[in-house]
Amino acid sequence: MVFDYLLMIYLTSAGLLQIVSFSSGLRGLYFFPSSKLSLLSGCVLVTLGCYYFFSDGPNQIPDTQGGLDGNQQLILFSIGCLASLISTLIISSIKTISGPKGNTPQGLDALRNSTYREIITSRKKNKWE
Amino acid sequence: MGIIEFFDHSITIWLDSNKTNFPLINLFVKYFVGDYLTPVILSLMLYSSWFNLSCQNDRINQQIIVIASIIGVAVGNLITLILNLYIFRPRPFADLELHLLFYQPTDSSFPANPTVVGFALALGLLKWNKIAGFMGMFLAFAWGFSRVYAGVSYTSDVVAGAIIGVLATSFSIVCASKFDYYPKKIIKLARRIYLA
Repeated sequence: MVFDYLLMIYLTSAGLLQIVSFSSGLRGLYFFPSSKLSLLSGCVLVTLGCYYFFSDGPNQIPDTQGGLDGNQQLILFSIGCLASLISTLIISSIKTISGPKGNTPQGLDALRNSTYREIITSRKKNKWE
Repeated sequence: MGIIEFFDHSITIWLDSNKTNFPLINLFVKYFVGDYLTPVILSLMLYSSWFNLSCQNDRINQQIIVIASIIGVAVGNLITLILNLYIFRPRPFADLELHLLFYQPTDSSFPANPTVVGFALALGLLKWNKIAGFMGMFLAFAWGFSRVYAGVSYTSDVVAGAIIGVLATSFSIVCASKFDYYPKKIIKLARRIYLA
């Protein structure tokens, strides 16, 4: 149950990140250079995560018999979301985003025109210059 | 107390007597009453709102609301925990003969913990975006209704849970807005690593 729940959270949150990145124009978080392909991959991941967990039924298992209580769900949800965020940053950093970069904006806005790897590299570069 | 109990019993018995007539509602309830579907959807909606880019000030406010909603859920659960120390109300299936659509929980029926969590999260969504908020409220309401329909909570337990959830998140949002030093510190840290 722990693994199933964790995998479901991992897949759905990774998919949702792609969908939100598409709607917010965060090109740096896209899995693929194509925005539409990234959106599609997001939808597929969300569907896959839900299907994996709920395909056998509604999963009505008491927490006294192998189900998850609220605290366990909170911990696993946090781990799943964090893992999917790290995976997204790594996978999306494989590609490069072409085009003018200019000064790197602060915060999430930096991911509009650069991947996470590009931001970190340029920050390191600026530090040494 | 007598009137509330009368209404609770009447609604539960009436819903139970109609279970055989609505197989589609039974199927819907079997999914919504569970411990996973609704909280996962609501939490993921709140999680995604963190990454939603609007103007800078709105975004910081929204991220403060996300933090406040998480605290709201914790406060709501704490209130439930304290109430459970003093009040134990048997579940409907212990008092009445019902066709259960869920397993038999052993903890107190009052207040309904799922609606505390559901409404606490839904209010956070409502403060961010009206459409997402109404979807969240609908899900929280569906969760509460499912608990009553399935025979594991009384209507008053669900209403009390909803009130606790809404009050807990409202209180957290007011506190987080007035004393925004720590939420802003968290957001500032996240901004430094390009995640806020």
